[in-house]
Amino acid sequence: MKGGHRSSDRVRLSALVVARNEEARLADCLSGLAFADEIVIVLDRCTDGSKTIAGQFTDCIVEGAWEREGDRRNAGIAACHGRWILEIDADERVPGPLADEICNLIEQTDFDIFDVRVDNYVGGQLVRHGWMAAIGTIAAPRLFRKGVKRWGPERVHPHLHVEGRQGPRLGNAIVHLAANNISDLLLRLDRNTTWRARDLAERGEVGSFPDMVRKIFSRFWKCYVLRGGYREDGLGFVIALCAALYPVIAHLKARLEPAE
Amino acid sequence: MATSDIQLSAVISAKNEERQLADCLKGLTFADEIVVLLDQCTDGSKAIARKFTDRIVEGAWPIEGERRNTAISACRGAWVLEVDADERISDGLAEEIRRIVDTTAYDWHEIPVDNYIGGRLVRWGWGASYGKAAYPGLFRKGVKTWGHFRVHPALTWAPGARKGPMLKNRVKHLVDRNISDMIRRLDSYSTARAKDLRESGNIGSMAANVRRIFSRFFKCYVLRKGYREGGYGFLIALFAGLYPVLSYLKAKLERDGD
Repeated sequence: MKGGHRSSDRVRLSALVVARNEEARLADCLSGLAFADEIVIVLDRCTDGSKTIAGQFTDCIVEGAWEREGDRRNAGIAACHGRWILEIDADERVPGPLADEICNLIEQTDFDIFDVRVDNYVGGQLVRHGWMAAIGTIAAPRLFRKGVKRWGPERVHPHLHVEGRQGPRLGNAIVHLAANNISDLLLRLDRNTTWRARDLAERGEVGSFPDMVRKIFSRFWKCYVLRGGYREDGLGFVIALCAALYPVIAHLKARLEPAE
Repeated sequence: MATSDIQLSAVISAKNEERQLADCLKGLTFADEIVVLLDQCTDGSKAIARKFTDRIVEGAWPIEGERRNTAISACRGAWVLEVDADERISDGLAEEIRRIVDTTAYDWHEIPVDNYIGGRLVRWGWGASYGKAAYPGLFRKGVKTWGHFRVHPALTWAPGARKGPMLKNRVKHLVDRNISDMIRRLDSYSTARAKDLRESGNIGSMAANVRRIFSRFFKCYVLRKGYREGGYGFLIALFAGLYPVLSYLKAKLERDGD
């Protein structure tokens, strides 16, 4: 559809990518989205080569500055012309079989929104067990009819508002290059807790320290034992640790370090 | 200044410290010479150092101990004051150092440290990996040698070198600006420690390092009274506890350059 005149009713599927300074990963991501009828890219305060790369794949580019992830994603959804939307992040890849499954599905389904599994990779290794949403999700409602899904205003892990019928989970998975190594996981923990702390401070609900300390143990247990993180060698331990420490670190950042 | 007139050298090893260096060097002008070692600096550190001294050593040292030994050997003074870029010497401490150097019969002295996170003095609960209560920063040239580890290298003292009493005034150590800095320090220290572990050929066991989470946390938070410092005391103890197991897992699961 690149460059062509677009009438909304002919656009079946929009692939939506929201990016902030993602020049290193964007091309790889976008080259796997050619199966969609259009690609829509939201560029949030990009100062690197992201726009040049985006321009090679689509002319549907929305630029701006959004402080909140929810607002940014809603702006992207609003810019999509398709009856269906597939949301993909720059660090994710859509394998061919998933693309085929999506194209077949939206031709015939009566449902409005679908969960897509996410396979999280650390370095070159697929880590199947032990994840938690604060660090890496294993399934998310990424395929939906336009108008069915709206993001909440939180800075990190915004809540979802869904109005529509949920279909069965897809058989194929998105490939998520979650981190290159343990350092990446720790830096992700740092970044996500900083955003989370701002959300907490803004809502005036930083919670209590003893609760957050208890969560260290309950969340570690959930990830490492109940969700099978122990099967993933040491990486499952690190992921469980990051998930466990997320609430207490966010709490302490919110309480001790008001945003300057 | 002729070498024989140099009683006291102040020495600092820096790696891309443009943010800290000027503040630190301003407090060292009481010494007879300032020596700055610049390790792989790509920022404005050198221009800043030049404003304070012409005794600059440049190069690349992957091992912290070797870098520090090189810096010390470039000192011409009979005494050496070793300072890091994130440390500040007050006027009171400077006077005390000059007095000690003039009068002491000993060969080295420890300097007590006040550790700060952001603007906050945190007195309790430090593990050796992060803040320190005191360090042997004042010594006669030739008595102190650093070991070969990348992080927290061990020290050896020349045979017969005598330790004098600890100084009264405190060095101000700006450990971290905030919790993000603390996490990044945990990350970079454990990465460097993993390299040391791999090189040593003995990375230890998961079980022992998991036990150390609890023993080190207990040591910092309870025995060293980190609980008195509220949230920062908790995080210091937590990160001191996690440092061995993260180092171990990085050594086990990753290779250099990953």
